[in-house]
Amino acid sequence: MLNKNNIYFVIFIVIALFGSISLAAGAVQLTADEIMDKVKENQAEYENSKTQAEMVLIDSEGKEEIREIIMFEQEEADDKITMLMRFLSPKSVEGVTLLSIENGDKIYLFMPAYQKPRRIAGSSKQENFMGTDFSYEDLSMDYQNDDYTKELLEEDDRQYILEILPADEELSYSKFILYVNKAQFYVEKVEFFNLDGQHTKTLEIKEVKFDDEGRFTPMKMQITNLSDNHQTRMNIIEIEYDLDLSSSFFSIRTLQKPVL
Amino acid sequence: MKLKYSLGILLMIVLIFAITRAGLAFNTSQTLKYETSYLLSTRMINHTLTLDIDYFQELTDDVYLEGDLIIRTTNKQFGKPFVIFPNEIYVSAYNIIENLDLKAGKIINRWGAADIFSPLDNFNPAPPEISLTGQQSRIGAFGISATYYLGNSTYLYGAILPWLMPTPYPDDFLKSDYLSNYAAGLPEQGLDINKVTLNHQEAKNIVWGLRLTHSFPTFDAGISYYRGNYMDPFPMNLSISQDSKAEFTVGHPTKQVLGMEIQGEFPGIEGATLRGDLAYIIPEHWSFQGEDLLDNPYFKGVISADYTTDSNWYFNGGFIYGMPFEEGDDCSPYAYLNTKKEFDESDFTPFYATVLSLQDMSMVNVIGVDYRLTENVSASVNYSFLLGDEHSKLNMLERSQGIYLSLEWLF
Repeated sequence: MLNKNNIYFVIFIVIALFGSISLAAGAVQLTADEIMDKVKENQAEYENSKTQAEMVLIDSEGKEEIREIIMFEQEEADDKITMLMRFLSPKSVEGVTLLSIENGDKIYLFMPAYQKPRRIAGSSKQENFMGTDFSYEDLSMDYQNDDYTKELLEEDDRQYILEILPADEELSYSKFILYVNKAQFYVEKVEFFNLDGQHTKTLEIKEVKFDDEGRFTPMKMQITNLSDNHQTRMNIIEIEYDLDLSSSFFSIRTLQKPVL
Repeated sequence: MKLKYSLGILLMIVLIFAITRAGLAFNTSQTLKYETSYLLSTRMINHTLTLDIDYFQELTDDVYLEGDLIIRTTNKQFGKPFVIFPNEIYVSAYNIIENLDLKAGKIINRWGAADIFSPLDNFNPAPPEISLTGQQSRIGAFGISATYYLGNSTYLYGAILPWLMPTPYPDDFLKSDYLSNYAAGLPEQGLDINKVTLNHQEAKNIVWGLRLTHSFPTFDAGISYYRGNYMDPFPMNLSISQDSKAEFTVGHPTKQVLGMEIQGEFPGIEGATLRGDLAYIIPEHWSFQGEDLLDNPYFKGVISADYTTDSNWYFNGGFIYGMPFEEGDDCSPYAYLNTKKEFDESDFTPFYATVLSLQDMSMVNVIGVDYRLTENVSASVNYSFLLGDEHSKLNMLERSQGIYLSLEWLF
């Protein structure tokens, strides 16, 4: 029989149920900044890294060129990235080495035929690097920069879709659209928009590897240049973290060394 | 000569076969290049086959044996039919003493920031030819170079060569060239210019230099000092013996070069890179047959910009004061342009290069096309021609007019 005490009990249970559902719903209502923070938390943490990878260049007719690279990266102050990359094959580009210091503030290129390092002007960063679809700017940019404005555009069961507006006036992109995997908080796709607002490139993370702590490393990536229907795929062969590199490793003295 | 030329080709085939088999201890990278040309001045077809083997071997941590072996066979008029020599062979040690890198052996020191014809590039001669379309190759010279790092942005370079490496002009070429310039009256004296003896007076002093560079936020800059000799020979003496034999002596005057170099962002032009070298040259006084060939100090310089458009059209152009074959009062101004266009859907890359004398408007032009047959095989064909009369500044390049074809295989 339903008496007054029973009714109060039922009301309490209903309120508690609705309250917990509301709390649960509120717990997944993350802001864009929170989503990006989670992505950063899930990224492998390291001071420096060494990556051996294969780059496959695919033209609009499907013709492929394969290049093997070795790349070293180091995080500097203010979350800036310094990178040193060398082509190992094919023979036509073997030994070509790029040094990008602090997100491309200074870029040097060493080509064995010139026998001396050449400084690349900062504003030529939009040029594609060695026939790939990555520009010098793409290789040195950090689209997860804390200073960029972020907005959550929409979400579904699988993904968060965020809009990132760079604060850097020298950047040749007006915005990025990021597609973040909801379950594991890693970026699955990035759409690049030029200063006219046109969608010009798409970067897709095809495969990631998770370590024991749930941190991810992208293992297969593909960037598509929409204007000329050209693609570059990067397949990571091997990656190491926190190497014992000298303080002068990321400098022009390393560019000419026969072995990195 | 034909026998040596053929044997050279045969040897090269054997070496290529040996190199392509796994078994060499060294890390090697090879370039086989076939070049042929039809010169309008001689109406001759020249062939040259060159095998270039780059190698290195790690001896211990950060100590390497490196080098570059050249094997060449040619039927060119003034060329040796077959040569084999290490263009470079040296030991390199990185950080053997903290912040100090060293190289010792037959080495190449490339100073200066300019894309072509840098007046600061004085340690290694170029082969006796001029390239307008690519980086001029250099010939190794015995010596030691050291780089000391004052932090990651400032570098102090030093180089010392125990003796000068002169430009390797063939004797027959020198005789033909100098005598046509300086000995026009010899036949009137009853002398047969084909019986002239050529003597070389070698430079005896040590060649050395220091260079300091610093990396600024938007550009790199450097200053340098060089003390050595002119790598090209200068006429020194023409004597006639009692039995009517002519003896022609050439030598290498000393010089000091104070240099400045810069490379970085081109102010005001987004996407363009500026590179430039300026040299103040203090020569030894040098005269021949009463004429001062070198006297007062003088300037030489190159300044250029390079730029690539969104449609992959590359431009490199600038201003030159004093071509490599000009010294002292002979130096004059030129403009140059080197351009090429890459197509997304094609393996053809057309190119054009020109040097224009701003003194007499003579021009040397190279127009051609590169074609990539495979990832490691490429071909190039070009036509070189001169605009200007026989007294023009660029007329000395007249003999290089013709059609050139090359095939290159990297393996």
